Amino acid sequence: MPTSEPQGSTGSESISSGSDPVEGTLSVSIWRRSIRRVRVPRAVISIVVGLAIWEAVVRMFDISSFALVPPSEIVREFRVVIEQGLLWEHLQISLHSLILGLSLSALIAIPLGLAAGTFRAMREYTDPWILALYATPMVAFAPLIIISLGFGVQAKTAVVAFACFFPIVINTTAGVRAVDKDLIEVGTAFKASHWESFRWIALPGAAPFIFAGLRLAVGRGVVGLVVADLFGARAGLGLFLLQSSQSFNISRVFVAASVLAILGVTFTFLIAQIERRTLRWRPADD
Amino acid sequence: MTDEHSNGQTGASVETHNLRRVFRDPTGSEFIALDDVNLTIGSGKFVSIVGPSGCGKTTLLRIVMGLDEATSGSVAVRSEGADDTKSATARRSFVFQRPALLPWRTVQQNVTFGLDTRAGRKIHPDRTSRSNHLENLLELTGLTRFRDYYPAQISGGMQQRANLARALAVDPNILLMDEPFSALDAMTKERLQRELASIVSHLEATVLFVTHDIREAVFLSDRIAVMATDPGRVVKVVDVDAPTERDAAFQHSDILTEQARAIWAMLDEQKKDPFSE
Repeated sequence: MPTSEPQGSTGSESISSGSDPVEGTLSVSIWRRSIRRVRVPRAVISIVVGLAIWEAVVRMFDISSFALVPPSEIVREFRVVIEQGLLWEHLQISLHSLILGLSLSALIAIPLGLAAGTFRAMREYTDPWILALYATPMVAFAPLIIISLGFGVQAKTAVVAFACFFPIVINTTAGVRAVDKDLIEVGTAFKASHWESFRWIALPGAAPFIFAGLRLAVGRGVVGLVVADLFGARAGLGLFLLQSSQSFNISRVFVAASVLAILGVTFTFLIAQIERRTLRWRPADD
Repeated sequence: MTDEHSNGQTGASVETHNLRRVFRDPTGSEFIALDDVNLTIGSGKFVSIVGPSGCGKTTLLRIVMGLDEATSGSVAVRSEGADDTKSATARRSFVFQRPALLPWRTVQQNVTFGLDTRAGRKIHPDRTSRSNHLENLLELTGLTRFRDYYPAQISGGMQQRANLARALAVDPNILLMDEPFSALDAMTKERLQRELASIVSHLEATVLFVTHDIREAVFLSDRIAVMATDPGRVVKVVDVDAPTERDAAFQHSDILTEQARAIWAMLDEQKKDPFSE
């Protein structure tokens, strides 16, 4: 064990909270931050090791290239796709739909969720629709949207928006309702108006839930991109994936899937960044 | 007048008339939290309410604050010197049992919460008086160093100081405190009790303090209202005999212990009371 152990674990935080309030808690937050710094490489190590195992297994057992291709093959195909410019249009269209669909969805779902969380009557009207539509598989709605809006960007955007809508609205509603009752009473005790209570207590209290909803929405939105393309599209990453699979180009299917994954991860990361900046007050989680 | 302003407002008297609060659970059975409570608290007094858990002491406090409504009966809060027509202006303020600080506001922003509201902006309308007031308050409660921290970054004791400072910020005529020190460790608790005694001694405000800690009640109060449970009612009001300065010596003195013991005996007697069996 190193002699200069970081001061103040979660244990000593509670011990020191009485007699020496700040020293303890301060060093805890510094210590936690340093853990965060160590974590990032672990994610990289995990991916690199995972890919290496994949590569090794495919080579060792001589697996058919129709079943599974090694990462090196996918990387090679990736380069081909980029050099021949096969990806750009699909990526552009999908990116466009994802950004627009997600924003549109958030713009409607967050206010609706806030209202539903605040007003009981509102919630009682909206809940049955939200729960029923949420429980229905998205694949059931996608063809309807495609038929009415065509094969263009609008339809894809609408499918993405539809897919993103539910996690956002459900989380936002739950977030408003989960705000600590004691904090609501602070508003009452100090004569905050309804609007002030909403702005200063309910909204910031619900914010972590809203961000969680947005992060979930990204995942569903990416699924929406693919689903929309399966029912007809002129361009899009889903179509690119579908065409690759129909021509038995397994490597290219993996390329398409990887791009979709990268898209999802990037958006989730961006939202997490915004969340961290917006919710600075939250104690660092470990 | 100016001096009074910097030290908060004048006190207010509180009078309850046949106050009754009945809770009904979902099955329809009733629980009488407060039954016919008549309590008169003089302006500027520090009055503690003690009693077994479930005797309605917190309910009483919440009704006085307006956080809960009485089933029947009434509460009159009158600020000193005001005639009946102006009685509505008596400003009440609440110190919560849990610190109940807004986690997204810094300590300072939490303290000023009551001044930020539309209603509270009138208390210190001009910038200088507001900022002087805030500085004094942070100094008084020992929070100056921690003003820019978020609640999650400070200890429970510091959080309770912020909770108190927030209540004092609005210059209350009456300060209602709901077991504010109950979750603290013994050492922090005693220190905060001494600090509260000293802060309150500079205030004109009336303090209504709910606690289950009888020594704490004796240490802090001018008077103690002893309550009994089922139905919740005030059984006795006791005057406390205390030195002018409530310091550590008094905290551990025999005078305090003796008075606490007398109140314990009162509470014990209630347990034997056939009415509550």
